[in-house]
Amino acid sequence: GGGGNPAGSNSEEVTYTWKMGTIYNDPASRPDYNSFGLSMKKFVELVNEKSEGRIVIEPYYNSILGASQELFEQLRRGELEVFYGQPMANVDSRFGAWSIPYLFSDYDAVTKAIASPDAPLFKLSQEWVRENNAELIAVGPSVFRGFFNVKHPVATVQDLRDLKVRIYEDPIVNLFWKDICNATSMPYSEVYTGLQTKTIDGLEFADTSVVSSKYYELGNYFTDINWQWTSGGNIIIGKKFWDQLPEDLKEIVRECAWEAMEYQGIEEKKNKESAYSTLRECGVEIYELSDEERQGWIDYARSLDSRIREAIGPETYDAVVEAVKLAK
Amino acid sequence: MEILKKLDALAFKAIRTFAGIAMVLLTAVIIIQILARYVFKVSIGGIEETPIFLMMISVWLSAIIVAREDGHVKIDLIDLMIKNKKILYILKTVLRCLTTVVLGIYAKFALDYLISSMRLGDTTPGLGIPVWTMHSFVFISAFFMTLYYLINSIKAIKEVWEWR
Amino acid sequence: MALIASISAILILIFIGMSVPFCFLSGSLIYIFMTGASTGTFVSTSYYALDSFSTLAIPLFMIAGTLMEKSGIARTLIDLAEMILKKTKGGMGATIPLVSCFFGALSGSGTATVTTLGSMMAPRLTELGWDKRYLAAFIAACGPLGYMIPPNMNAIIYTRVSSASVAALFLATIIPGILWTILYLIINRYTYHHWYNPENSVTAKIGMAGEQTAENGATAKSIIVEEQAADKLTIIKRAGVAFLMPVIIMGGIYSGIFTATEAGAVGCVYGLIVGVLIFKKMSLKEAFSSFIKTGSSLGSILIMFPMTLIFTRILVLNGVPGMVTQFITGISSNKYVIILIIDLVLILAGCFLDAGVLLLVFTPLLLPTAAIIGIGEIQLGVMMFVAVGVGTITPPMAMNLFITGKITGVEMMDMMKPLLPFLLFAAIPILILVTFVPAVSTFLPSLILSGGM
Ligand code: NA
Ligand code: NA
Repeated sequence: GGGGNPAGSNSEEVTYTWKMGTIYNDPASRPDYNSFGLSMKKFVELVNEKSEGRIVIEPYYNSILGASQELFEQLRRGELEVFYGQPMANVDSRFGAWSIPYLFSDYDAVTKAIASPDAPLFKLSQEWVRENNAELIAVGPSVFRGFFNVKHPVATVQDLRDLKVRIYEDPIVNLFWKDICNATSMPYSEVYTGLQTKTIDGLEFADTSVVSSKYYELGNYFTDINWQWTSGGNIIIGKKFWDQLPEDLKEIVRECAWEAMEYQGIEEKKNKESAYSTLRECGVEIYELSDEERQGWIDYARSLDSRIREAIGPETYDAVVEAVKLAK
Repeated sequence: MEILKKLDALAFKAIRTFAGIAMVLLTAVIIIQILARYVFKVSIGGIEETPIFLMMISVWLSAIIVAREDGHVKIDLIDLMIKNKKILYILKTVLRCLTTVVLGIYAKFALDYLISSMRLGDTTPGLGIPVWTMHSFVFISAFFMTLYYLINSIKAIKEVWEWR
Repeated sequence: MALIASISAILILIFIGMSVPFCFLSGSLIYIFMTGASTGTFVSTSYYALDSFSTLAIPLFMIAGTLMEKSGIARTLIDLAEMILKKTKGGMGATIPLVSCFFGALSGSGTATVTTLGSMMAPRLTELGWDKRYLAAFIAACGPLGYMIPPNMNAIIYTRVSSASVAALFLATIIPGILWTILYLIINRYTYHHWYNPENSVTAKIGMAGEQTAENGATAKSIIVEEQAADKLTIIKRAGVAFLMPVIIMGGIYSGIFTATEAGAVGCVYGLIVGVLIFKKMSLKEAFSSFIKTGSSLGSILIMFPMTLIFTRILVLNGVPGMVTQFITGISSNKYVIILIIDLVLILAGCFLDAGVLLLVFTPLLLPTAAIIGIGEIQLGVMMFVAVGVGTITPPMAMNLFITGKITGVEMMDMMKPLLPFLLFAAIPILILVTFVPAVSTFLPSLILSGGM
């Protein structure tokens, strides 16, 4: 918790020691293709430096304090000071709105709509997070998720018919995949072996994660369907810890957070370029969708809109679509 | 007193039967999922969390009946070292009391946790069950474990008292 | 200070006989009271400790294991091993590691292996003139084979605290498991005559009491041999049915039909089919009692996860894994010395701690150190499993010796002499082997799961 320094009575000398938890890998052991881990490290270093030691953040990577659901729960209960990751939709159905399929066309749209301090969807998201007893400080450009599989090239939605696809428990993910393929729930730790033994044929995944998880060793096919933007880069601070911070420190934390998130975007884009060449070198066939093919996927996603709108909540859904439009 | 004894026996039987049925269901759900994947080529959304929940409930509830018989894993090493039966018994009584206190504190934490879960109102990712219903089993377990250790402690203290 | 106090408290409480999970809870509470740290994550940590799909494999393989015994499959395995080894020198003693391997291919647990073998084989071999002390020690020592031959329950626990894959871990222990068995067979061959005296056998004793002539004795023996011969075909048939199970389970996992966790459920169904329909050894009611038995014992086995995790979190938040790394690498910078230190730590810890605690508490503490010296998660896992196995036969905390002691009525101290060769010339050499030769563990996973591990 925020430990007061008994030596000083003025706010200048109070130090705050905070724990920051994430599921992302420690960049010390995984320096490559790890924009999330690196940006978290950046944030910690920036805050510790710019606050001149008045805030000390200790990072805990690799789910060592718990997986996302548990971490976000700790945050809301005031047990964890800082969380870096994605709050799940089962906690607040509105969080599902970030991952509406094909909500954003590219990173530029993401930045304009959510990944900058004055973006309309960022403001909206801040409100939702505030109602969950926490403060959303900054949002990173994060990643888009493509599709990787070990069987055959995939260009259209119909190409998925004969594939066993790994999914995870999430209403939107379930809605999108369950009717177009043989969708199977599987814990992340079993995916590599699952692909090897063909218990599953593929999964929706970011290109850079395909590289960092070494799925390319299994060969085969990647398609940039970019069906979903996942809001994986959120720096969130527990309400009571945020509120006790003096205004000047708040400003420093905000600044550092946005700088770190910008860094996440830069790293991710850099990684993306080398990811494609690494994947090709390793014999993975990369299929880049034509505009027409992409439209096919978008049309499929739009056909789910009414159900997605229902899952997220009609008001939220409309507000989000409005906010994204406004940002263009 | 008679009623309590009957209740105790009933609860014991109920938990065992529940745990058995939970294990059957858990096995069945997993088999159905495999069949669904290969034979029917469909995915059954949401149910994959049920086996985990059945397991979790079984763990917390059966921990109670293990506590009832003071059967939680322990080492009987000290029995070989202290040959004086009375000293040994007193030590065991002290340990039971200590366990009661420790579990009692944990039960209090579990209650706080349950209350705050009810306030938060989260649901599970798959089936959308309120999460607090799952959390309640931690409290139920801690509470009844405390109760059984308390009863066992009182019995032991009485016996030690009668030696005088 | 608070950390040292809570660690000491846990060790003392375990030692004086408080229930192990609550020793950890006490230690955590002591830490909290001394430091004033928040208690808010106690219950959420314990709740989420069990919230994992792979952990499901534990009850599933437990049920499958109980069904093995009741369905008559375990009996068949013993008959088969006897049939194979009957005529070799020290053969009946050699059935112990062999049956452990067979049983291991069906069960995931060392404890179940020891319990089943202890109750089914010890009385029979005692009748044949084997020394109880040897039997108790040997059966206990063979326990680890029950999980070194996959399925492997410890592997499932290990994946709870590391990111290794269960399917890869299952393959990783096969070679060390087989080598371990071979060493046991060799040791038995050279030490058995101290512990086997046919004159102590029940038939021999009856013979003496009845003043039976040598001729009568011979006819009695030939009758037994004939009976065995007549049974051979049945035994082979039944063994075929029994061994179809590992074929289905492992085949299913590695051909991708189901995951390691799901394989547990398939094992249960197969056990049910064999027990109820094929061998007709159990009724559905008896089968249900296997489910009840497992379900109602989960509280004693899996409660270890939440209670130890609360304490491991405290260790992590205090930077203990880093301290362990610093301490070990501070002693030496030589990779092999560090590995030896890890081995030593594990053996020492194994003397006092139970398998689950060893895996759940020590894995997070050792992972960073292992990573620094290039030990992968698969190899570290195998090292942990062998160490856990060694731990089950090293007093004072020696689960397997407790079990065989209870079954045979032999005091733990009396098992030490026959146990020592198995420990010194098999168990510990295997631990050294898997720590210094990564290929022993990684070869099969990389071969079968083509792709780098
Ligand atoms: Na096994
Ligand atoms: Na031991």
